[in-house]
Amino acid sequence: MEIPKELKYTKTHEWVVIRGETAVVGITDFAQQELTDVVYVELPELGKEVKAGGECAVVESVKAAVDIYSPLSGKIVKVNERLNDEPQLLNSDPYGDGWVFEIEPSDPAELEKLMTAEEYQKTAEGS
Amino acid sequence: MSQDVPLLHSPLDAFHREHGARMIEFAGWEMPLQFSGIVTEHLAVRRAAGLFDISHMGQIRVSGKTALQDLQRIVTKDLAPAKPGRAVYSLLCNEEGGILDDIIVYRMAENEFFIIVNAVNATKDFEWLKENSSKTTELENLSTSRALFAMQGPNSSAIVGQLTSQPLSDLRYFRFRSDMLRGFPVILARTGYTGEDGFEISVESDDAVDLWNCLLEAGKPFELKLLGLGARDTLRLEMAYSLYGMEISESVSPFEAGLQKAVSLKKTDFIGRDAIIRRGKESRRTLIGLELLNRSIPRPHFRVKSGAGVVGKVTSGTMSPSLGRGIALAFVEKKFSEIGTVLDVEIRGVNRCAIVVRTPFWTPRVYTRSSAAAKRSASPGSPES
Repeated sequence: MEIPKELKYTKTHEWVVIRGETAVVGITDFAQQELTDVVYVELPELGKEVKAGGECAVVESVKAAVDIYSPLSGKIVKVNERLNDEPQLLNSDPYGDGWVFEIEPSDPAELEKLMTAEEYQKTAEGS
Repeated sequence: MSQDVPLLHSPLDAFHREHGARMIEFAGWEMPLQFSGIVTEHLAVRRAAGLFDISHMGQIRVSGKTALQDLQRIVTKDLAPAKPGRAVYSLLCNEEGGILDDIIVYRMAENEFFIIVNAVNATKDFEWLKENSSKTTELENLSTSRALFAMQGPNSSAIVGQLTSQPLSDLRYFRFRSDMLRGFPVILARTGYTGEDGFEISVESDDAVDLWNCLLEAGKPFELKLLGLGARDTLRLEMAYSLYGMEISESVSPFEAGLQKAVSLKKTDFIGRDAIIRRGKESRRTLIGLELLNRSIPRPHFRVKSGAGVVGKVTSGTMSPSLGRGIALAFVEKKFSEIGTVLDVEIRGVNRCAIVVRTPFWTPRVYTRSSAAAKRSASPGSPES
């Protein structure tokens, strides 16, 4: 299970990283393994305001649908359109081409509340 | 099932865990959900071959001088014309015409039958059979003393053929025989739940692991894959085969579910007959196939709508691995059941466009069952369980 050191994590298995003015969000390697074959991603609406911990996208495997929660509050400024045709990128490259959306954080201090890679590793191993 | 009842395990349980199965609880059993992934496993059955452990399914032997007479009153299908060696897809219904289970009855001899039932109903069915049988009919519940495997896919006969000395060309669709596979006594049936060519193999639990390994070894040159219940569900759904608990249950009568072919109305006396006819006439709903126009995925219980009105409910839905599109079976009001009708499925609050399509959703390329295929109606159903 891959857990890059430079990212921050949520209990609900999202990752986030600040890149300039925005934050990029995706699901973790652990989450994609649990989901198995991702076959559909319902992306968030552009421009939508979301709260930290709020539902904002849906990832579906053959078997089930699971919600993606936003790690931070803010405005959705970009979504990964490639996932419309290649949802399997979430399985093959969850920390790269399989990113899900970008958010303009309204409260960057929220980042401090998220888990580090070491903390997330313990959570994932315990679940 | 109450929580303090321990889960049942297949004789292959240790094998599954050693081979990376993700296990799930199903009908009181712990069985593999998947090995390499549902999509990969699904496509292996459509293109090559796959092996399922379906030992959770119930197996019941019925014998004695009144066996035929009793079963004729209990099951919906006429068993009299079925010669020994034939398998018959049938239903068990209650007096109200509600479906207790869908089953396959193997006619072993004049008065000897072997019945495969759904795991979730195995105990209920056994009790029902007992309750409705004469003292001279003997019933044996073999559900935990026998294992059951399904070898499915176009390469199935090439694989199974290596293990038997008798030609498989003699074993046609929905026929079975007692056979020896590498020396292990089995009941070998040309049946399945995937739409592909294939076999269901009943074997003594003590021989299960050895026979399983022989099948895997024989399958190596034929791209045989291990399969879990996840792929079993997507494969049956592409064929629009009913699953007990989803499309059919005690609150559904056979004609509503499109299971006309599993009922012999010519047989004048069997449990539920009058109610089945009456409910068939009275019922305002029918089971249909829906194909989604975008990539969103319908799931059980999602509402089916026409304009603002709710006209039905999804019973099973998935992303079809063969078609790459969302498909569903749904009960809808009859007037919305015409092929080509445009409806909506409400998915997380959004109406997604869906079309009523002919079923099965998928036509297997290697379809060796010309006679059976020609007889199959366009409505959803299930030739097996």
